[in-house]
Amino acid sequence: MVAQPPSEPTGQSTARAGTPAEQIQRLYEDAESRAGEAMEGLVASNGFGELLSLLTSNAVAMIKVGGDAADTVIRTLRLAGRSDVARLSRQLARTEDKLELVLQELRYLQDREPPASPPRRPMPKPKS
Amino acid sequence: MSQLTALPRQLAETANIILTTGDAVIGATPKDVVWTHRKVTLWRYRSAARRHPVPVLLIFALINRPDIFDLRPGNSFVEHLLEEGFDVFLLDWGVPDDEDADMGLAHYVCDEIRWAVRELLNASGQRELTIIGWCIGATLTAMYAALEPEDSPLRNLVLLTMPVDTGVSLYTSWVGRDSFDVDQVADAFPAVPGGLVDVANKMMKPVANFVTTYRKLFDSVRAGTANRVAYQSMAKWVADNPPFPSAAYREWITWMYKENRLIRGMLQLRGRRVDLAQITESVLVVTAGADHIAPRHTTMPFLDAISSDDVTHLDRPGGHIGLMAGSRARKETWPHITDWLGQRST
Repeated sequence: MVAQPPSEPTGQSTARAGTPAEQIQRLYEDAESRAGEAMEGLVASNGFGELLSLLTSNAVAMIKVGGDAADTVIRTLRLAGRSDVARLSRQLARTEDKLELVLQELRYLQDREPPASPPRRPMPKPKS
Repeated sequence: MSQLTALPRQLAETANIILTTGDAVIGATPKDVVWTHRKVTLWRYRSAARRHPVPVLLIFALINRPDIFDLRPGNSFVEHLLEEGFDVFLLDWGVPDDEDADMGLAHYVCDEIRWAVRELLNASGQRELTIIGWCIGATLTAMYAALEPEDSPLRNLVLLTMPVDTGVSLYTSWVGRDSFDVDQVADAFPAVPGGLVDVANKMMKPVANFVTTYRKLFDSVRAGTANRVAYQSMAKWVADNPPFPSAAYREWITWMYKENRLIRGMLQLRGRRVDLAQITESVLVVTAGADHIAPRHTTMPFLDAISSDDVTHLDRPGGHIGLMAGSRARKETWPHITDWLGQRST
């Protein structure tokens, strides 16, 4: 008869060891681990992917409707809204783009120019 | 009597750790601004012990902040690089908003990275550099390397948990399907809220992210082993989700997940094909065994696509972020990276 290696302890046999509180803790962790695996299988399913797409579409549509309504109210009240702030910020961004172009020109010229030589002293005027 | 108050005290302490997470200090290593453009900033970390002449540029993803490179004192990859004598720069994408809706992938790859490299070389006085990219930051780095000419200053590439071939992945099964209308999302949000992307990431492992994390914290409080600083620094970083500019979001989802263009050699930026075969620099690719965001099989085809003679693949235990910021990263991942870099930074 060939001796069998001891089998891995099951969740139930492990839970029997220790104090009642430890047993409850192990049972909970075991349940949480199984729930985790089951949920990961669920979110990887085709059906969940379809559901997620639809829920995302609905949520985005609702947020857009709410945002448009809020914009209308803000514009009616003649208050500066998010779109006004974004427009100003876009102008700032364009200015930064131009500054970057200037910096590129500067770097280009720096790379081309030989190291600056010390300025020449003016020749002394001959005394008459 | 103490038993009666033990449980409420433990619950209160757990709640306190969660509620005061915002006070945690992250990204604290001193650094200076080198260059800025719009929301993008190039930082240089202060150091008096630079030994390696080839500077290092760190590039993180467009989602979440790059503070993960410098999570907290005592557990910071930046600190490790500085201790090893590297000159370290960080490209910080900042926090985009509605006005940055026009920032597409080409802006990041062809403009921001290229300009940051120019300023890095100018500030360091060197002719070559190493780029360490992580997650989307690694993919953007690979695109940049593929578009650069052979005489570019790029010497070494270190690519961490990089999605390249997304043909079969959980993300693809969610956003790659026809019913996921990326245009609707990108049209509705000039800057796609980072919270949405974060929820999607957490939904990949819902029980682990929404239950186990907090249960383990409570268990550690009960056992008296709770590391408040470690928990809070990571939790603060995880919760900091900058918006994704809509142009970049639309292109990333469409080109990478719906059409899988990069590995198929069909991605074009500003009319130029991003051909991974043009990458000839020394390359270190690091994958994480338990990565569910960029699983190893989505990275491996990159190794066959490039033309580099000097390619190293390092597979480490851990998840997408734990690989580099977990408690074991200091011993199991960082030394391998700095050893590899040290040999190629002379």
